[in-house]
Amino acid sequence: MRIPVTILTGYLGAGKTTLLNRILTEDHGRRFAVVVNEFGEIGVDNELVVGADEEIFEMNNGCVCCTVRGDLMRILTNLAKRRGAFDGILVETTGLADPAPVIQTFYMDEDTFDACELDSVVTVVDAANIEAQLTRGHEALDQLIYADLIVLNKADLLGAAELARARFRVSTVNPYARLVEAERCNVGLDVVLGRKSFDLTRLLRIEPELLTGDAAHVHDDGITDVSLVSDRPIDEGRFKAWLGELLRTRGQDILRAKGILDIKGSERRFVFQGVHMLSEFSTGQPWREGEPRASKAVFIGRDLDRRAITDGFAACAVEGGR
Amino acid sequence: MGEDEQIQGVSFWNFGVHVAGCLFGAEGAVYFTLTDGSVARLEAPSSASADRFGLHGGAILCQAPAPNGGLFTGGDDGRLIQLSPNGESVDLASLPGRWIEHLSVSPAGAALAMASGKNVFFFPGPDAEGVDLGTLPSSIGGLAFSPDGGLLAASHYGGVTLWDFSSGETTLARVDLPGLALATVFDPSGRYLAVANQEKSVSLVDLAKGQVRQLQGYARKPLSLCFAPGGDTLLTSGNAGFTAWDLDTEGDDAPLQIQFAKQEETFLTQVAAHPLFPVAIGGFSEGSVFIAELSAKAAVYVFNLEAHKPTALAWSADGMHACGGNASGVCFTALLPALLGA
Repeated sequence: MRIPVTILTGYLGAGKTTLLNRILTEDHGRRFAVVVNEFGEIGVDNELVVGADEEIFEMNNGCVCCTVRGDLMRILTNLAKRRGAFDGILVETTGLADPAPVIQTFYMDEDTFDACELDSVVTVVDAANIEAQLTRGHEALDQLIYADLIVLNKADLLGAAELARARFRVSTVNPYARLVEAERCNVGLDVVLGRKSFDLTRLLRIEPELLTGDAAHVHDDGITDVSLVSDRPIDEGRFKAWLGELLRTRGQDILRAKGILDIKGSERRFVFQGVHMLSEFSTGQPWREGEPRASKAVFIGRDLDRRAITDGFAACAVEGGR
Repeated sequence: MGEDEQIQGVSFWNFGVHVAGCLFGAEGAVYFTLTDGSVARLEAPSSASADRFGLHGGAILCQAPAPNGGLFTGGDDGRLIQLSPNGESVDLASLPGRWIEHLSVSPAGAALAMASGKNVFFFPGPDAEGVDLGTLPSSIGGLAFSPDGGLLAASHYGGVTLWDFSSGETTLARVDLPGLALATVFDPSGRYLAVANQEKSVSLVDLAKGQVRQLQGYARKPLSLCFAPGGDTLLTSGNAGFTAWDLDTEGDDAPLQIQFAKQEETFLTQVAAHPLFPVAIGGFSEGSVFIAELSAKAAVYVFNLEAHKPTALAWSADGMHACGGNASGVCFTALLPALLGA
């Protein structure tokens, strides 16, 4: 069993430390090791709190997007030696961090991958200031794009109309993440922890208008998301070859890719996810008897060629039935 | 080890938690350091019972033998502790909120060095205070004294930093290496420094010639490195079998890689060279332990550590005993003749 890891991101002042302190002090019956970027900020004396220096390295494969966190490899593989002393690990990033190197660490370092499993990316958002943060730079945008769960914090400081506007603003950047509102991060911890988001079951309830098979959102900053659906089963070999080529040639622009597929000849869901040039395949839940099967995938990135991705995915489907 | 694996001269123990390291103390005891913060001690390799000492508040991350017996341990509670042969423990350093991840003693035992994050602390003598040698460019991945104790090497992103204490005045040098440098060992003569790399290679630094060679051809990170006693063979983990590099110590030929005793669907996680003979002990990720004859580049199976990967292997200084432990707490001590099937 790999140890589940939750990544906690959020812009400066959004409320990450408040959430961490709650996780460390509330009686929720589980123990977490916590990797923090500012050791002194946590007001809890806990042997399982680890301070980390953000050490971002480029790998030597010549790809500028293949960056990893060297400090995290060390910390996570060492924490894994204390298997049984805690139930999961939380990694807090700095307020201006791009989540990609953190996520990529799980795929580019074999020892981290063997020991730990990326459970979800939780992004805490300051509802009152997100609009300004999104216009100030790419950091807040990146943090939203990689989120599986968005905690819209400080919701109590806004009126109903402003809050609705903040919700809309956030969901236009990432319509796939679950969005919860909170005051002083008073979100239920069962919502935050142990989400198993990367099994991607949420993709099965993508907004209805995205399920037409050719939907695409175009955001500001050139961020595009391309949503794909197929009612016909997918040929596994064809899909892997296509995805491999797509990530190899366009990986620098693809921020996230994920999907659940109905593979011809398989009784189980096929799950994939990617970050830049990296991808991971796994087997998900079995399809139930009589359950309608479909394949759904989403690509989020900069200046994506919607037509090429849609056509490429369609060509992975097999003719006729299963 | 099952019922069918009772081997004369080999004893097994189960301490129930991940084994961080193992070593033979100068007084003849065997020490296993554990990630629950305790040390298990056998007074002799053949002891029938083990003593357990709770030392650290968290996991032990590193250890080194102390000059007059006993050992030093560093932990993720930020403490450096010395455990004496009489069972007394003393705190030598405390860095709250930090981890002590690497320790090395100079072979004569006079000096001790420890690494925590980006900093190396140097203790010149047994009762001396630690001196912070400064902040390196990134966290330290490996730390080693040269065999004569004159050099201290610390690996980090972009290379290795070397402190030279031999002239009485400490001087500093840096060898540039690609990427993130990890485990670091000197050969017995002090001429070569082998440094594991995050991206599945080993940097072989020839300090005599000022030359660096990049040794490629690994399936995984080669985190366990050692030199055979003659210094002409480098042994590493990281492949499906033992990986040996024959070095041309006389001329200038590139080292030659030979892999042997390849196993299916597993890889070597630990390897330790015998201190006197061209023999090595190696452990595979599915728990099996092999003994290798380096002259023949061949190895034979000895026993299995209950299907969990070995995390530590060591030889006694006289080469008569080996010890080791794995990720679930299973440990062994073994007599050399038993390992060689004599």
